[in-house]
Amino acid sequence: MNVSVTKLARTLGVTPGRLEYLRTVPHADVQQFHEMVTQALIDANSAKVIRVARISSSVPAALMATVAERSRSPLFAARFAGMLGSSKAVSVARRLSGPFLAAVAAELAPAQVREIVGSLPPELGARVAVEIAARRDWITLGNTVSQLPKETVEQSIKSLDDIALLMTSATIEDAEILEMLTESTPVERIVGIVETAAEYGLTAELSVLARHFTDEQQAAAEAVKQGTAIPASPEVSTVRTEEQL
Amino acid sequence: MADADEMTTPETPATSLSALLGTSPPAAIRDLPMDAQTDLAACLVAKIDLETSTLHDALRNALSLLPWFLRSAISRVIEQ
Repeated sequence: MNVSVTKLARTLGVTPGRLEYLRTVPHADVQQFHEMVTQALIDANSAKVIRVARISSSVPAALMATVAERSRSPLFAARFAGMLGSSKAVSVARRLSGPFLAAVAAELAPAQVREIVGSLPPELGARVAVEIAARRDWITLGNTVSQLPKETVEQSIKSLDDIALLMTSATIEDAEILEMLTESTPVERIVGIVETAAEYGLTAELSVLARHFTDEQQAAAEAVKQGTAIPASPEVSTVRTEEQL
Repeated sequence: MADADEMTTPETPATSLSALLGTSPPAAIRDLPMDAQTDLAACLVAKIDLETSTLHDALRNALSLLPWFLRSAISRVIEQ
């Protein structure tokens, strides 16, 4: 099943297998249809959310964040944030806990991720990425990384382990984003990434990333295959467990 | 002469998807078999219903945390 169909299935809340009939539909058409579905879901309840957002515009961001978090609904927070305007939404987002913000990110449309998560300071944006990785929500992590500024991606990569990098790469369809991801990955990480891929059977995921390796990264990957690489140090190859898969 | 009901174009899965999306889906989706289009429309309706219900419950939860004047104003909006 291709990634576009898996992403659409996730948005619709069904298993990818149910959408088997989309297997022959070109990726670009599935992506376009997915964007339409995302917008339809936002529009379906937008009138009510807009009215509530207008009334709440005078509420301080701190109270709004408390209310959003205690609503226990990331969907509500995401739809609400989408109607607030980016500066207020960012102000509220800064006050949300990491785990809740990660859950909200899963409900945001890509444009909203860019507007809200992309406007957070790199350290906070990176923290959101790490929280999403902790949920093993690779599709959301891929969507988020795709919308973040390069500086935030670089910051995020420092905190993401090899498995997260590999699994996330496999959900990204845009070659430019994959290039940005590899450019942001220090060559010292390549040994660990290649070893992890071999250890956990993630060679297909590695091949997605490897297509965009720089020459230096390619050489490092080749050295691992030939057994001439210096083993990755614990500092650059973070601890990983099979549970993360 | 046919009456008005008979003259109405029956709603096909494609037009139903268009109505749900507010626009026409890509040609490759419109060209799918009818049962596939019907299934896509059913998935979307189910997700919209679920989100509507989730948002309604979340708004009610959120209301209990707001000052009374906002609670009152937002309650009126929810009931609209």
